[in-house]
Parts: sequence; structure tokens; C-alpha cells
Amino acid sequence: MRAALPSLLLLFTVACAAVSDGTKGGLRPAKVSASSAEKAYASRRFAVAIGISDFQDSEWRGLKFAGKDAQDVASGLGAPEKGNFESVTLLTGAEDTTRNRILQALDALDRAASRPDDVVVLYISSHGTLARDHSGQLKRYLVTSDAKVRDVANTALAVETLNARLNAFRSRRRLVVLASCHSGSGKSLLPPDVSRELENTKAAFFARPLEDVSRAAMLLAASDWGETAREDETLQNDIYTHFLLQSLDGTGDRNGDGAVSAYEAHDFARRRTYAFTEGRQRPSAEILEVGADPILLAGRIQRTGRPELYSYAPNLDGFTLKVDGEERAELPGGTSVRPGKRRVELTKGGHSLFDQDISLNDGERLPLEELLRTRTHQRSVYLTAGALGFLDAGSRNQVMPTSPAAGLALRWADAPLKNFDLWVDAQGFGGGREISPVANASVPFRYRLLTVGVGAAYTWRFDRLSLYTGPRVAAVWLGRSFDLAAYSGAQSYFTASPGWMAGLGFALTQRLELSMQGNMLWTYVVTDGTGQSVGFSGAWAGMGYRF
Amino acid sequence: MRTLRTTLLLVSAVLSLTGCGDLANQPLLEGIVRGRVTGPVSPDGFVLFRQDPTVRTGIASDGTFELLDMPLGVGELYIVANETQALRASFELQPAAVVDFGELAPQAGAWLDLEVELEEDELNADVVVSLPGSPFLELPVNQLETLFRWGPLPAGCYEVVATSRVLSASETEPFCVAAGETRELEIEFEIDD
Repeated sequence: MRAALPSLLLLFTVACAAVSDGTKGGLRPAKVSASSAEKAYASRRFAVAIGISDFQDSEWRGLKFAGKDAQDVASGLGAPEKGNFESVTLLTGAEDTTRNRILQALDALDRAASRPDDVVVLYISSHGTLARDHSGQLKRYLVTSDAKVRDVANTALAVETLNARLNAFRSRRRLVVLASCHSGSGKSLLPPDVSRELENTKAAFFARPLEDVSRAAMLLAASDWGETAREDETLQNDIYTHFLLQSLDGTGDRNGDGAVSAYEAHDFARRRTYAFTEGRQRPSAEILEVGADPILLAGRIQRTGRPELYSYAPNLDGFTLKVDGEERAELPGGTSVRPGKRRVELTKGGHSLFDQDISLNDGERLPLEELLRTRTHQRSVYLTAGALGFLDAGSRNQVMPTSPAAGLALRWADAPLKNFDLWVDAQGFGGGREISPVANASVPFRYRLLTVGVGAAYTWRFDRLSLYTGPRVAAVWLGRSFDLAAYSGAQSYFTASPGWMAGLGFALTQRLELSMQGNMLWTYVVTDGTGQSVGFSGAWAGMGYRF
Repeated sequence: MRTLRTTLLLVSAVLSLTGCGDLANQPLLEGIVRGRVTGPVSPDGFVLFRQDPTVRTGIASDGTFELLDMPLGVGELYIVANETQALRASFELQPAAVVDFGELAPQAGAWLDLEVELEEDELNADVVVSLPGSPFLELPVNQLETLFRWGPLPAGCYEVVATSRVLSASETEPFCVAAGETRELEIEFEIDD
């Protein structure tokens, strides 16, 4: 450290001298052209296209067009008029498509795409298969050129491994396209033991393994689970790949913004594959990261796109999206619409799940499940039961003891602002109670108590749980009536008070929610002409219904 | 701290403007005591609250009486029915309750003959004598020997108190009387050194 000190001082002196031109500090303009700056900050696009047609183990039958698929994808992505990718690596020969070689290519891809906004595309056309791993779980594998039918778990490339590698990438825009399937037919072959097992336990085959939903990127598959991905002699390609490539020439630019995003390309290819195979092949998408910053496969965004409505949520699978009464898409999928107020409808088998006017602006991308969730959770009504009472013993003895209460509470989610919920509640009760105006003596009376409150609470929403807290203003009306030997009469008092509330909700189902709330008011009570500020609190638990 | 207090006062003031109505507990802190004295009743008959002798009422010709706005708790009435009969009656009053004695039979009244003796130098000491819990309160003593005859007294125990309003001195003499008894009592008033 002592030896390094003179060097550090020298370096510091030189650095200071280098920026000194007679003035101290300040910003100095750099001579950088606009085009250079744009290029430096533009996101770059990298791809690896892998096509495996030939296999060392002769039990895997060869694929006619897998190599050509990869070649066409590489050409499409690399072509300046289409994808214009920075770099596209093509791996097609038997030597280049071994398990190790593919993993090396992934490492190289990660090194190249070093920025978070770089786009990474991995395309693989090959057989898919299923096998049990070392723990006995049934998992998906991609058949590499050196994979052995009798030892899939050790020689093929597990989709889980592929996902783990991609999840470790520095790039946050990752797209995987698997032109394969795992159904045991078409572009899939299953080891004999798995085939026999699946013949007897079909349900296990259709159950999606956990790995399939545990990543945070886009995975496009040429076919859905249990379906067959096909090659076609006429198209001279894997069918899905053919239409995916077709979309890159701009045909797939659904919203007209000048670029073809992965969503748009997949939707384009999906619709045409479905039509071409007459419904026998439904390409699927697993998309867990959805944002306003899409993965662009071709072109650049030149203008604000038309509003888009879309959904890949499994619970909306099979629903028809209608806009202004016109059928626009079959979900999963999406459509672009003209900006303005549009009537959006989701239907299935004559049943309408959603039918509402929505205002849409240019550039807006609206996931339908979000629309549905927001709409579903927008309002809640709660039947409540709890207690109301003064915080101080003096008021409980002199004015009114703690009383049971029942009522209604209404909640508007995200109103007036996002994450702020508006609460309106009314609690009340009536009956007979006793107060103790002097020690060791109690006076019976009848009462009616009503509170009406309005509050705005900041809400933290977790999976099923929500916590909220915020200010509340409430009006309190208290009526007392006495019917005693020496005094009969009715009295009432009304006041409005500021306070605070906090609570939690727990969703039991989509519609039902358990909720609890505690609130406190700083109120002013006049007794026998003398006023005092006292605390007044309430607590309730209730069952809520979302509508 | 001052700012906080000011803020609290301001908020309290605003809150007080938002409140309306009044809750009253005062009616709960009072009660009624009533009853009816049997036998002959003089127009001068009266009922007096011993814990606060200023609270008193007359007795109607049918013997009924009623005391309103009586304070809660344990108390005792001092009742004089006529020139020869009297009685005392105890009660406990609950919030906004009524204590009704029903019929009360007075007894022969007792008499107290009280002699208060002063020294020469005490004549200007403004000495007064009282029988607390009775109508005989703060009667002046301004002679060397002053005689009082008080009655009819309801049977029971009492205390005669002689006090100088000028000097810090008082004499207390407890006594009990039975119905119809005449009691003689002598107090020699001495000023403490």
C-alpha cells in the first residue's frame, strides 16, 4: 500500500492536469454525432439458429427441414430488410449441434449480448422428447445430434438447463423459439420406456412440468403440449417456422409502428399455423415478462403504434376477443385497434366474460387479463361486524361503553390514484347498555350509534393478501335515551372527526375476500356543556364480495 | 412543543365547530326523595336534608313531602311534623332514582336546653353556636351566659359546635337524645392560647 501511494498521487496529478484548461470544473462538450450516439445507445440484436436434421443415434429418425429451418431463420434475422440482426450464428451440421457445442454457443451469445437491453433470440428446430431425470421427474428435452435414445437424461439438452442458462444472461430481452414438440409424433420421438409409460398414464403427459412456467422471458413453441409440430413438403419448412419468418418482412407488424415484435411475429405465425393445419397444431407462448418494451425481431419502431389488446393467459385460452362487435382474435393472441373508445368483449360459447367500453390510446398495449383483473377487483362490498368505542375509560363510563357494531363497507380499488383505495363505510348498532356516571353506580339506557366514514388508503397487494393504511374522516352520531324514575329523556350528539385506518384483506376466491380493519378518530365530545378531545376507535371483520 | 399545542388547540376548535347536540349526565347525578308523614301535621312542619340543611321543603296538609334534585349517595332527612313530633330517616339515592319512604310515623320530639358561657374578653369574639344537620345554625352568642332551647329534635345523636368567627377557637360537644327526652348541656367557651 505504501509503495502504491506515490503512483496513485502521480495518477491523480496527471488526471487533474489532463482536464485543466485554465478553468476549474464544468462540463465539456464532446464531439459526438447524433447517428453515432443513436447507434451507441440502440439495443443490439443477436441470434443463434440451430437446426438438427441428422442424429448419431439411428433410432432418432432424421428431420428433412430442420437444417433449412435454421438456415432460413438465420437469413431472415440477418437480412437488413428484415431482422437486421447484429450477429446471427447458424449451427446445423452434426458436429455443431452436439449438446456441448450448443452450450458453448449459448456462452458466446451471453458474452456478445452484454447489455440488459440487447435482444437475444435462440431458435432450435429439432426433435423434442420426454424423459425422467435423476430424481424421477418427467422433463422435456431437446434432441441434440449426439443424444442417445436409451440415455436421454444424460445426453440430450434439458429444456430446464436451457432456461437456466438463459436466465443467467445479462440481456433481459430473451426469446426462445422451439420448433419441436414432445408429443411422441411429428417432430418428437420418445424413448420406448417413456412411450409405454405414457400409453398407460396419459394424464401425466398432459400435465405441464414445473419448469415450463418458472422462467421470466418469452418461450414460443411451435405446438402446444400434447400436440404435434409438423414439417411440410409444400412449405419446405417446419410449418410454424415458415410463418414466423414470413412475419419478419413487415407482414406481422400488427400495430403499424414499423417493427415486428416477438408478440406480433408469434401471433401471426400462430394464426396461420392453426389455419394451415386445420386446427391440429396450435403454437403456444409462455410469456412471463410483459412490458411496454417489446422484443423486436425486425425493423425499428418509427412511430407510435396503434393500441393493442392481447392475452396469453391460460385462463383466457379459447375466448374470442370482439372489438366494436367484430370478432378480432382467438385467445391466446391479440389484435390492434383504432384509438379511441372501443367496446371490448370477451366471449366463449355464448357466454360473455367481459363487455365494456374502454378508451385506448396510440401506443397502448393492454393485456386483457389485466383489464379483467382490474375490472373484477375494482369494487368490493363488505358485510362487517365489530365494535366501536372510546379509547379512554372516562368516556366509556360517562358517555357510552364499547358497543358492538355491524354495517357495510365499500371499496374502490385504485381510486382516486393507482394503489390508493377509496373506502366508504357505515357502521352502527343500537340496544341497551349501562354507563357509570358515579363510582359503583350504573345507569341503564338505550342507544343508537352510527358512524359513516370515508378514507383513502395506500394499498400493498401481494398474491392473495393486501395491506392498507391511510387517512379517514368520519361522522359519528350518538343517540341516548333514558327512562329512569327521576329522569326520562333523549339526547343526541353529532360530530365529524379526522382519523386513520389500517387493515388487511385476504382473497378466498376471485370474488370473495376476508377483510379486517381498525380505525381511530380524534373526536370532540361535549358532555354537560364541557367539551373534550377524545379518541374513538372502531374495529371490524367482514366478508367482501368483489364486483 | 408550543406549535404542537397550538395545532392541537386549533384542531380542537375546528372539531368543536363540527359538533352539535349535547350529552347531559347532570340529570343522572340527581334524584328525588319523597314520603308521607302520618298523624297531625303543622303548617310549620318541614323536611330538611341533614347533609345540606339549605335543602328543605314543607309538608303538605296530607303529610306528603318531596325533595327534588337531591344529590346521589347516602343521606338523612330531619323531619319536624308539628310542635311536638319529629323524626330522622336515612336513605341511599341511586342515579336518577326515587327514594319513596312511604308512610313515616313521627315520634315525640326531644329538647335540648343549651347554656353557653363566655369570658369577658370573648364578648367581641363573634361567637356562634350551631347544631349541624338541624335548622339551628350559627346562632349568635353575645352575653356572658346565653340560654338556648332547641326542639323538637328527632331522637338521635348530635354535636353542638360553638365557633368564634374572629378567633381560631371552637368547642364541640356531642350528645344523644331519646324520643321525648329533655337534655341540658353547658358549654364554657375557651379561646386557645
